[in-house]
Amino acid sequence: MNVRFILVACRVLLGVVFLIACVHKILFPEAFALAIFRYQVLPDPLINLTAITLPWIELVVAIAIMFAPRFKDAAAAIILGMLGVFTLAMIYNIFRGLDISCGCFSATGEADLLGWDNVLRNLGYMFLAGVVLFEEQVRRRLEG
Amino acid sequence: MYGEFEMNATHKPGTLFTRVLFLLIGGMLAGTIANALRPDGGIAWFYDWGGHLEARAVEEGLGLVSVADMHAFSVSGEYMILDARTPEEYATGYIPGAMLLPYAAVDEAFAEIQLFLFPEQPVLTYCSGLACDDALMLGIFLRDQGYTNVFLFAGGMEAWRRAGYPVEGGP
Repeated sequence: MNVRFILVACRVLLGVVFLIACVHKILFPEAFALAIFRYQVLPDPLINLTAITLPWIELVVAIAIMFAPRFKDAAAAIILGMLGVFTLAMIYNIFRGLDISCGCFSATGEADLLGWDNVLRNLGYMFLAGVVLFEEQVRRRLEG
Repeated sequence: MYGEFEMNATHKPGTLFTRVLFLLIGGMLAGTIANALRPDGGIAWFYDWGGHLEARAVEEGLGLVSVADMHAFSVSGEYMILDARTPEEYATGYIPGAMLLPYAAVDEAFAEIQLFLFPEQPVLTYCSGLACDDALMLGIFLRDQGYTNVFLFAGGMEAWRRAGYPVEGGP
């Protein structure tokens, strides 16, 4: 398969995923703050600040990775970092047995309970972000 | 075909680090401005989450259950479910199987309910929602009475109705 197509597909997929992920959080920051609070990993003073800024960072990187080629590596690096942190917080809470919602795509989604499927999904997205971040190496490797 | 997506790497401004910083600051600024400009005034920049119902419950050693769990427990019938609201509120509809134990009149009401409880019995309390603390207070009361398996369903009737689960009683 065309390597350039794969790289573009990775960017579009990540962009769409992060666009979808930020909408509900931007519309309902209060619910998102509660979702963050339930993770019990952030100190109280940082919870609302995170709920206010994080969804917009997601929006900016979603746009950047799709439409700003000069910033695609930076956007991929941020996505990789964010997903890494989210995933660690998820694993921590799964082991603690805390019954909370994922807060991934919908801040209130009680149906979207945190589980290993969320972790796997994140690892998949992290792989795609890695492909975009290390685009040159991937291209060289695949094109020989 | 992918021309738009294929700009040469040499045109990138600054280092990867400065580009990352640029995007991060951009997003944070956008979020800050958006929160300040919200028609509803936005959410508080800082909020004392320590006073939040669920934080207090955890502090008091009560377990927490989600609405999905609450539904499962309501169906299984293994848990004693206690509605901490007033009799008037209870009459507007309650979680199937829930018994009324209004915290406002806890001493008298508990004397009646006590007959149905043994110390290790799992007990779930709830009230109208995140804004009421009757269920939390009832949970603390029960714990103080020696019950060791007390859980709080913090979402209460509000979360229950929002999830579309069946309601017993009521008009």
